[in-house]
Amino acid sequence: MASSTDSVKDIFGNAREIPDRDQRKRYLDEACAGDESLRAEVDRLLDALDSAGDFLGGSYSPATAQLPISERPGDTIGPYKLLQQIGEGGMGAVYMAEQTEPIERRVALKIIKPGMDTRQVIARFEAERQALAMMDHPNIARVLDAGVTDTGRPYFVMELVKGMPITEYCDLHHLTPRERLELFVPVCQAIQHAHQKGIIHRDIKPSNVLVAHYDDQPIPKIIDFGVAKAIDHRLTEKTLFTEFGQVLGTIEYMSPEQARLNQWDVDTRTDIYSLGVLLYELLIGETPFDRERLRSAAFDDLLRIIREEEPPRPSDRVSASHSLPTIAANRQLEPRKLTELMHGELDWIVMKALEKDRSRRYDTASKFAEDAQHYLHNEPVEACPPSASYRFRKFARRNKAVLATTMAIAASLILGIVGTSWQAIERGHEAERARAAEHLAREEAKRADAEAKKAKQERDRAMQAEQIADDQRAMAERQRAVAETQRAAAEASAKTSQAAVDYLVEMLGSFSIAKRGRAPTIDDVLTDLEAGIDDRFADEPLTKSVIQTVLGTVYAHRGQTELARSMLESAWEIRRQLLGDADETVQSGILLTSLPPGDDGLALAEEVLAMSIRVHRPSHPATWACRSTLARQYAYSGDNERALDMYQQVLRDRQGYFGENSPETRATQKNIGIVLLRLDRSDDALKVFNDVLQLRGPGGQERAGYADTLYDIAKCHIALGQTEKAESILLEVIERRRKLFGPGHRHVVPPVRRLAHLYVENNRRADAIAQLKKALELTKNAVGADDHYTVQLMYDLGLCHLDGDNYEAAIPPLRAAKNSPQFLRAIGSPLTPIGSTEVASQTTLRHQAYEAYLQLAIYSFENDEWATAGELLGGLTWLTDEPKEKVETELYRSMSLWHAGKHQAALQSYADVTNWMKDQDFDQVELSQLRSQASQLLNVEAATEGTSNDEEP
Amino acid sequence: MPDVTHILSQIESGDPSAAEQLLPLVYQELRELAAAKIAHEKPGHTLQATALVHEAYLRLVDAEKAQHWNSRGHFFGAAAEAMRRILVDRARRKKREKHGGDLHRVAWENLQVGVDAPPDQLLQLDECLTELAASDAQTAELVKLHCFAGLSIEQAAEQLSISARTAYRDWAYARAWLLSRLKQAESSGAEE
Repeated sequence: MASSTDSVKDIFGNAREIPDRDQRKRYLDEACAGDESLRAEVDRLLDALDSAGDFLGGSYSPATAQLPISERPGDTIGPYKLLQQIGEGGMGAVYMAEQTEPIERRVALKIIKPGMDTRQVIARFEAERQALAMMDHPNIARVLDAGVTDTGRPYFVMELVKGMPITEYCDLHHLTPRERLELFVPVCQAIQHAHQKGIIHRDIKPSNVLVAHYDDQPIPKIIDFGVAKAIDHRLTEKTLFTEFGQVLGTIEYMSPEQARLNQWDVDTRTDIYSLGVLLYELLIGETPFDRERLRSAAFDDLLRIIREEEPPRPSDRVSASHSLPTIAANRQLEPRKLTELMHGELDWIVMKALEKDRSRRYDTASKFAEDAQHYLHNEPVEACPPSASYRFRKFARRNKAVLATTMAIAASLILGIVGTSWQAIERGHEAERARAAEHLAREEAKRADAEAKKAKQERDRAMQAEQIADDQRAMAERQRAVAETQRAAAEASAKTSQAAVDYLVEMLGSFSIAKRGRAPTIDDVLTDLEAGIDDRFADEPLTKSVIQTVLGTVYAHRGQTELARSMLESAWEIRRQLLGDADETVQSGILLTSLPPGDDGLALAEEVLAMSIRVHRPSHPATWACRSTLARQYAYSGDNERALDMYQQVLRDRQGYFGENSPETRATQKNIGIVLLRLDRSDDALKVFNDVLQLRGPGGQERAGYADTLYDIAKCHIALGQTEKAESILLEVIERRRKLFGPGHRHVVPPVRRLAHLYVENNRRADAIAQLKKALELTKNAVGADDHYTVQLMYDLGLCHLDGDNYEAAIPPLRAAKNSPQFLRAIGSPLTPIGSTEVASQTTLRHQAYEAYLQLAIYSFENDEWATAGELLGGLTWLTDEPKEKVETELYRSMSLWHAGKHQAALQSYADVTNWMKDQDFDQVELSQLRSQASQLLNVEAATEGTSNDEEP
Repeated sequence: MPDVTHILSQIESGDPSAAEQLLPLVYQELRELAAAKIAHEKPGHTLQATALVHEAYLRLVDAEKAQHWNSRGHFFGAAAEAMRRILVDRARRKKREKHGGDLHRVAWENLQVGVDAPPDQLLQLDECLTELAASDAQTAELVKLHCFAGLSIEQAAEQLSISARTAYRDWAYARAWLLSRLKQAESSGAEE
């Protein structure tokens, strides 16, 4: 058999190239020459090929297969005779060729490699041919012709340039940066010429900018105009996989707008970018992005780097380069000199061309050239260093979400720190202090006025009067001294604030993707801000405490209570130690005790209150704020009676000081209402809330606080079982909040959930589902699918369906909820039950979720929806503390995975759970049947699996 | 870890021992890559062996240096072999796990080499390929480069230093030969 392989192969190969059946048969008769077994073998192969279909990827057109694949020197293509190959690139090979007619000359002929749609290439070239012909510039290699070779491949004919890539030329001749810049200027001018004719190059890179000597002068010549467009040099998924090598060769010069799949949104500024990269490389010998790094990055990552990452400035890049000595030597410079030379204007010029945002690059290539000339002539350049505020703007543009937080940070710094609230905002006492100061000032003014009048009346009367006036003058002097001291204190505090603001602006401005390889998130920003303060403010603890207060406030607003607590605790400690009894310390204490209850919230709140009484006096706005947070701590600890007493005392004090209708008094009243609700005194609560609503008056209806109070009123009606009233008010709250904050805002979610619960309780599941669905849609759009409010809605929607035994409908939302990173947080945020001090524990809430998912998973399991069951069971062990349930879940999961064909995962799950069981001390008898069922299915030894795994190295 | 680019340049400069170091490295990388990809496999998103090989190439080889010599071929030779082993191992394991039961099959006309190829059929194909290699090593190598490393027929031709025309002829021959062999084995198996 082996001996006849060659003949079988040859005969088969020849035969299949004969399309005509009779001819083929004649050939076979002749070639096999009566050898029956040979003939049978060939016939079998020919039959097999006929029926081969797509076997192993299918056949390839014999037409292409029979043609020679590459042209060789000596071949003739149209009027051109190939002389020798002078280059080979990603797109194809370049030959020196001889043209015989109409004129005799040598040309460069570029034959594009196979795989392109030739007709389209030629069509695109023809479309630009007119424009290409109009280009006439000493630094542009003329494009003469394009056509199709006999093998069906497109080719381009260009003016022959006997040169080498500009970067190689410069290095070979050790040109100085100045000389390189001089060589670069005509390149820009040539590109400008092309742009004026409406032609964009799209593929500027060193190998397309050749330097040749004419009359002993180095002249740069740009080649390949029109080629990139004709061959549609666009990135697609296909090019990424099939032409990765070539893509890598050009990607470093690719502009951000080109670095997208299937994009063709380029304009003349695309060329400016590539020119910028070229200049970058000419000056410092390396491209803006590290080749090593680009090569090791995954494709989409690589494109993202080009699109988003700020490249380092040339001076930074070169000074960090390992090859600095060589690079500098090639430029006839000391390494240090090179770095110094780059620093400043050259950095700016290059970086201006490399802006991600096209509108910030040089408008035109000639502007770019001019700026390079400005530098050469020692004139001021147009490009300028990015200012801190510019960097900040840039950061802001890239990171809208992050910016929202930074704005919150800045706002809280400027406006003074606002405590997170329980229900209404416990107003930080900056506002109260301002109000108090104003009040005192007015009183003083009145008094002074009265005194002055009195003095005037008495002036004529007696010496005594003079004496009084003197006394008054002395008193005024003293007052001025006090004011002066206060002003100095305020200035010192302003200085601390200023240092804090400087820090924030600097940190935010310097945020870059380079640091992480991805766009920073809010969490990144906060983490970095937090990480930076210890070093930065080692000697300025008070400034540090300001930043910590800001961060703590932001964390608290984001619901990251523990992070908030650690920041605020530190600020409180710093101030307590350095400032002792002081207003700032009290402020820190108020913020800290405004957080949801910690271990010693009550004791701390009492301590802060005591301090406030020492610093201020028993009756002072700050002290009332302390009492208010203390009241809240009582409520948290379940002592609602005491909380109510304290709030009522605060209310009287605040009413006397701020008046009946002020934000502070309304806030206190609302808190009283909430405590009343918790005490199951819903009627009284309703009255309080209605009072608050009245106080707001006609103008207050459009404010957020109005909707808040309405919401509280709805809760009262719910507690009182007045469903219809509750429903209509909740609908109004939802409506108002959608209008106030936007349809998908998080604030809309709680009343929607509350309404949905109300519907479910009243057997109106369809209404509940409709409300939840609508809210889910809006919220998802506004804050994203992974926000924990969105996840809450998904979860509620799923539970609603589950409640109605509609498993199929329950699966998608519950699955989506569980797959979210915010799942645990979402299920742990229940609506507080109205009229009860009981808040369900996290354990209970988790177990509820566990039950729901288990129910759903069993349904899927029973219906052979293995993959779904496996997915639903994943991670459920975290939701229950019951060992048996944990084991049961995981065994079911391993079986589901196995049935779903995910054997690796199934075995892993089985091994994990059996290993875990070994260390557990509970009665496992009940589980043995399930376990053996699983072990049989997975075909593992139930008894030994765990141990044998352990013993293996 | 020895650098793949370095090994390739050693092979290029004629060091015969270097080639032996290449395969384990490429195998290791491909296996890790494949495992990672399979773990994150999305439904309806088939994992292509050829894409893996390309990714491995990018990760292991300094493409810039590699452009100057033709050792790219050596890499793909090793990658084809590594990928073949990975797929065959995987198929064996799958087959074991399923006890030979409930295995889906496809018509031979639709068989493609890849992680989702029916294990049984992939193993049969591999056996036939080994048989082909005994009588016609070059053609078998062509199949490996094309099917397991994703080289086009022309790239494979370049790698094997044969003309593209020959490569296309060999490819047609290989498909016919393998398919007829597989069908033969199947029908004789059915008779037993």
